[in-house]
Amino acid sequence: MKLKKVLAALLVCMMVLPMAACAEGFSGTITGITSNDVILNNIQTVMGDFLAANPDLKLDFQRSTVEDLDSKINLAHVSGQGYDYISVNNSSVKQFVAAGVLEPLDPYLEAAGIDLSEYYSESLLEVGKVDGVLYAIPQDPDCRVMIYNKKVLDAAGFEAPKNQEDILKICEALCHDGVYAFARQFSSLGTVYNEGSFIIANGANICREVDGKIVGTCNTPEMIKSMQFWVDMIPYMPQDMNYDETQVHQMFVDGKLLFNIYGPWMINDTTTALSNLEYGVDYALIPVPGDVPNSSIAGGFWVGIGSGSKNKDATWATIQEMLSPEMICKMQFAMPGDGRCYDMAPYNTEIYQPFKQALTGAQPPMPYSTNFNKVCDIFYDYFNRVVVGGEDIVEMMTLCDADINALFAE
Amino acid sequence: MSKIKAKKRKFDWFPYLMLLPAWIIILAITAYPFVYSFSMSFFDYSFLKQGMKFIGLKNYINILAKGEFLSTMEFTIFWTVVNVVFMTILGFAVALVMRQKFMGKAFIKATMLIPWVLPQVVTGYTFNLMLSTEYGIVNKAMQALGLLPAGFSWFAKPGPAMCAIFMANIWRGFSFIALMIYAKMQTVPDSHLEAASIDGAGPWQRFWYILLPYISPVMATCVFLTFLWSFNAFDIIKVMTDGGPLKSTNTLALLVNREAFSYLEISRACTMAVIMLLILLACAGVLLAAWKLLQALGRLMERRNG
Repeated sequence: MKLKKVLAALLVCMMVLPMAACAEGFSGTITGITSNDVILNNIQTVMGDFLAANPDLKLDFQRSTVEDLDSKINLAHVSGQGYDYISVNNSSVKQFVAAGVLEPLDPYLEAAGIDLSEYYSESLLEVGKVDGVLYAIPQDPDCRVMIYNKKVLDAAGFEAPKNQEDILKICEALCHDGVYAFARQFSSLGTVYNEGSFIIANGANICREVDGKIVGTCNTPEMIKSMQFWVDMIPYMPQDMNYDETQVHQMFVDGKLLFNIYGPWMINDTTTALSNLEYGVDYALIPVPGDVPNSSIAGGFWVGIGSGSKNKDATWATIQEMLSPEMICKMQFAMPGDGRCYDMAPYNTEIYQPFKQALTGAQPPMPYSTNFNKVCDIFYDYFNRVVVGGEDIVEMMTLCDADINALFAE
Repeated sequence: MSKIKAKKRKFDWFPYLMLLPAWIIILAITAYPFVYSFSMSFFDYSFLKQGMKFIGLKNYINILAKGEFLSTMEFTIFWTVVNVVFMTILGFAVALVMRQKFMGKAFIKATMLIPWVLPQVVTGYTFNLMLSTEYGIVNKAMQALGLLPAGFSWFAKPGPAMCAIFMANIWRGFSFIALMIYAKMQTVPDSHLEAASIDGAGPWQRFWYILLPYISPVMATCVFLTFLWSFNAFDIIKVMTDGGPLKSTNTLALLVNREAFSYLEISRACTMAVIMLLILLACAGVLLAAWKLLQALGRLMERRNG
């Protein structure tokens, strides 16, 4: 009998002691989803010290393509298998909040005594907010600048264009015999972000929030001027509009393309033909020329906690660790949203300076809403009717506003 | 009466048991999603909001009232008919040629199915490159022959863009029809053709009265399959034009895809898919009825001719 009691006590200790040991640090598995190879390739190494301090914590991150990211997150949420750590496309924050996918982050920030506005611009933080509540933090944001073919322009005696009129003058002189200004892609998002960069640079917007309501603002002098710019560019662009990024980059390298929109994710991308060029010699970067200096379209990925997460505290601790400036620099995201990182390697180099400049004026292409993709498609349709179909700019922009207003009135 | 009496035949469960796993899989991956999609079409459900509400036929009314769905349906039917007609004619012509003896026939027979087995995405990208204004070999060759003006673009305007996707899809699909018809042609007894020849029948008569009736069931099947595949075509158009320029090459499959995965409107996408199915069933019914009518007419003519 005594032996039985001793054995029972031993068994209980064997069960309880390991659990007591686990009581220190976080435990469990944090499931995550991201389309960012930088995170997937580096997280275990970069977060080594954090994981060592939390030996019972595992990070299980899944890769998705950018195109499938939203679908996978939504499907996981509705099936009750939602992710803990969620990489959120900047344009999808509102949709995820409406669907109940994301957890509010303000309580975590307050408990940690963190004021993000000290390190991030207000416009970047606003992207992650819905009705004043923060749901996602900029983790891998970006903005767009213009790349120009410095070698070709230097050979012809041209300096970097300072405005859109300069671009047209350069095109008039150089765009012949198979040399073009820009190349377009068959894509509504591509049009909104690429061609749209020049629209934003003129102070125009596809729509704006007025008294809490989103209204179409295409029929404005700024937008008409921007559309006229693209109509004037037609003779200097290839007629095919189904180029993919690979073809566009190759054309640029071959000296057949003078300008393109450039994002920070391309800097370290060795798979693109642009990686064979030398910055400052073959090409250079400038904020997109326009009437509004340093304006650019913000994009990229934010990070949030899944509302269905069963390990929210551990997920927050992981995110907090990943967002420290040292970790951002180690992780080597395309471009940091935290201003402190631009004083640290690798972001203190010359190539990042145009992005730092453009970040000051970075804004989303339009107020984000659950109708973001539909608005992009509406604008893309009318943009093409002007640029491809040759229809009247004012008439098409008026119809565009009417369609956007009708969409938000539903 | 002998003790041997008609035994009540025992129902044999064994074959059905053997088929049961296959039936379960088929029901799980086809019937269940279909029933679920059909039921979703009567609700208001999207990933843009929480919960779902029963709204009856509102989705159907809203979608059919919108001009975009009807204009897309028009193009889809046009796209399907053109593909079926050209694939059938081209496939039939190639099958006829394959019946002749010529050098390299074995090589052609061996490589004939390559267009069919290539993934549609690969076909789309290949045609994109071949038809490119800047790099396209087809453009350069046709411009050298004076068939196209310099700087011609297949993708800038609706007309040429439609031609481009038709070219790609017909190239992809005709070889399947050619192979099926050729295979059936090989089973036509030579004695029938020889006898007809001896009786004075010319090539056209041998073709019309012997070859064509023999291969017509296979042709009907090929036409039916091509019709289904063309109606639901997605990959080639998505890769080559994504429904553009100016939505001129937009098909119902692309529309459903956009509604579901870009706009996240699940109920609307399900409704469109159900409408597509109903259209397909109606067209399939018409095709089958037409086929039966042709067969009946054929038998009537045979009886009249004795």
